[in-house]
Amino acid sequence: MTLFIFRRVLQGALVIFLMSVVVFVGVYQIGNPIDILINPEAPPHIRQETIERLGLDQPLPTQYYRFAVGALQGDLGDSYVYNVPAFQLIAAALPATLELAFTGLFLALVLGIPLGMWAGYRPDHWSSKLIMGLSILGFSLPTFWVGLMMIVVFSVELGLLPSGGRGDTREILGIELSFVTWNGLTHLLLPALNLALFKLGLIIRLVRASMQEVLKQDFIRFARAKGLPRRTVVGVHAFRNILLPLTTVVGLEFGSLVAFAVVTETIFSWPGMGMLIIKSIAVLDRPVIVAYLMLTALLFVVINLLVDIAYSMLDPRVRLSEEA
Amino acid sequence: MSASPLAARPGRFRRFLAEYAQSPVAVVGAVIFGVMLGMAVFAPLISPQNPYDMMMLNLMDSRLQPGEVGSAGYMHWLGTDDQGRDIWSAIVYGLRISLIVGLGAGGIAAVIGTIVGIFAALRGGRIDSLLMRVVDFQLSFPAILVALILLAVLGPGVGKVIFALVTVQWAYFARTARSAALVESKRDYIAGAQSLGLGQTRIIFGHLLPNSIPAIMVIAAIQVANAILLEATLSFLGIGLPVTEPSLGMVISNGFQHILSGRYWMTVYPGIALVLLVLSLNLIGDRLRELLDPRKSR
Repeated sequence: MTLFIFRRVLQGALVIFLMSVVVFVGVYQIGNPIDILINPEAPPHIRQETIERLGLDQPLPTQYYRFAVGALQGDLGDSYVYNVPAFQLIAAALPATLELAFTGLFLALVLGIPLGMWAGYRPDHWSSKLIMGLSILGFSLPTFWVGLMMIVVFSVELGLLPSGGRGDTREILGIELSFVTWNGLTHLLLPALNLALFKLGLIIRLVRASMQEVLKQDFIRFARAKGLPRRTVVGVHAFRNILLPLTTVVGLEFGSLVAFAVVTETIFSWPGMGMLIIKSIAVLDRPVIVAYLMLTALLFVVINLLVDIAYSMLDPRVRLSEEA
Repeated sequence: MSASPLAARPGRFRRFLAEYAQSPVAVVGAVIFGVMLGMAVFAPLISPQNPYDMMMLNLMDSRLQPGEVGSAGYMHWLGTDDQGRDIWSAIVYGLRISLIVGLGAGGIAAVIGTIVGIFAALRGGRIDSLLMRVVDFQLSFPAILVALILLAVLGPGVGKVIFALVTVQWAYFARTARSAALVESKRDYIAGAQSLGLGQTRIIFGHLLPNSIPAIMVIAAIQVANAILLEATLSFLGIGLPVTEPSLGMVISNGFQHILSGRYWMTVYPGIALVLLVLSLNLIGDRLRELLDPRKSR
């Protein structure tokens, strides 16, 4: 087990290193930040002084070395726009994104598991066919457009929910959270639902397939033969076995929710990392772009690692085949 | 016998069409896709204005409601945007760009992925496992993230968006082509061709490739749909196509600014066009899967 984890951590570190080189070289080759940052009418000595202060006159490998050393110390350079450390900017926006992604995942599971279980339990019932039909529709609907339609319906036409922003937050354990205040909760609902719909079809299909698989197993037949009520057979015996394949998928999907939050945050002006990166790309705020990409890469490597470890615990054959 | 319904003979193709038509929903999907393809091809003929020719726009016509008649004397039956652009025309021209990018990216990804997949299947051993590691690694990152990274690095542009979409999608094709080629290469007819003394090239292009194509077509339909969706999303975010190439995503994004003032038509109608396009491709893909899936014995 230790060897397995060690290998995976090493692989992860390699991925991060490669990402940092690609991102750094790539990002620092678009345009010229000097033109954006310095007033073209500024006197030459101010121009020169700014270039030197930002290190933009150094050769690329030197710039990368400075960047890598800094990155390892949690210093990814200052934002050109806000003049504060890029890492600090991203870190300040992280809780909002995580809150959104967790709420979206929670909604997707709360809605998707029962619907999928029902569709798997009664595959021929009309309502199951409706659920499956809607899940195909879910794959085809552009999530960003659905978000816009939610604003049109719930904010503009019905006036029920706010169209954007985070609302009131309250600090809990040093983190600002929206869902603890009523006003914040109303702001959270639409974006979280929008993000949940992105994964709902997938979860329904997965749960339905596992349900159909599980129902064929002997232990379900025995439980039924024993005369256990249907509620117990489905709710306990079948449910537990559906959770197994769901765990790994949920791990990976959480990462994709964080990535996709870029879209939802832009629509609902949710002040998270996603909105920050889109704004930063628009004005070529390179330190922030690099910091976002590195942090997201790190997040993904960690998630993949945790999923691999969870998987190898659930199914030791994976680990054994690699150690052999 | 080979289980491929698409290999060469015209009789088989006709039978395949008849079988496809047994699902009414799939026929509707194919009709919608055909109509939208036609609209994109004949865009200048069926739209009253070229929406990106500034000479044809009149600011007097801006923000007309659906059904109002503009200064040029014809009815804007889907309304106009804030520059006096006819929404119907913007949709038709947007479809064109969305389809070019989606089909282009899907097509290139299919060719690259198929070559890599068949190569991996035939070579086997270390090269195979290395290539499949790369595929697994690529697929463990969500498409939107990879595309976002690439476009943040490369900047906007048609070629760059297609490049980003191909990077995201080739891996799906490689995986499918590899497993299809592995299955086919173990069949008797390949052994037969080998014992007839046919060359490697002839076996690959004459037998292995044609018989792997059904499996590739299934994911091609779905991946083109995904490419169109992803491109629309990226253009909506403003990091996809440049302003000079307005796809459906950008038309929707332009209307987004007017949502809160109740001018819904600038986003709703282009969105419906996008949904219909993607849905029709998914319906076609679903039916192809039912008919062509190699895992289903027929």
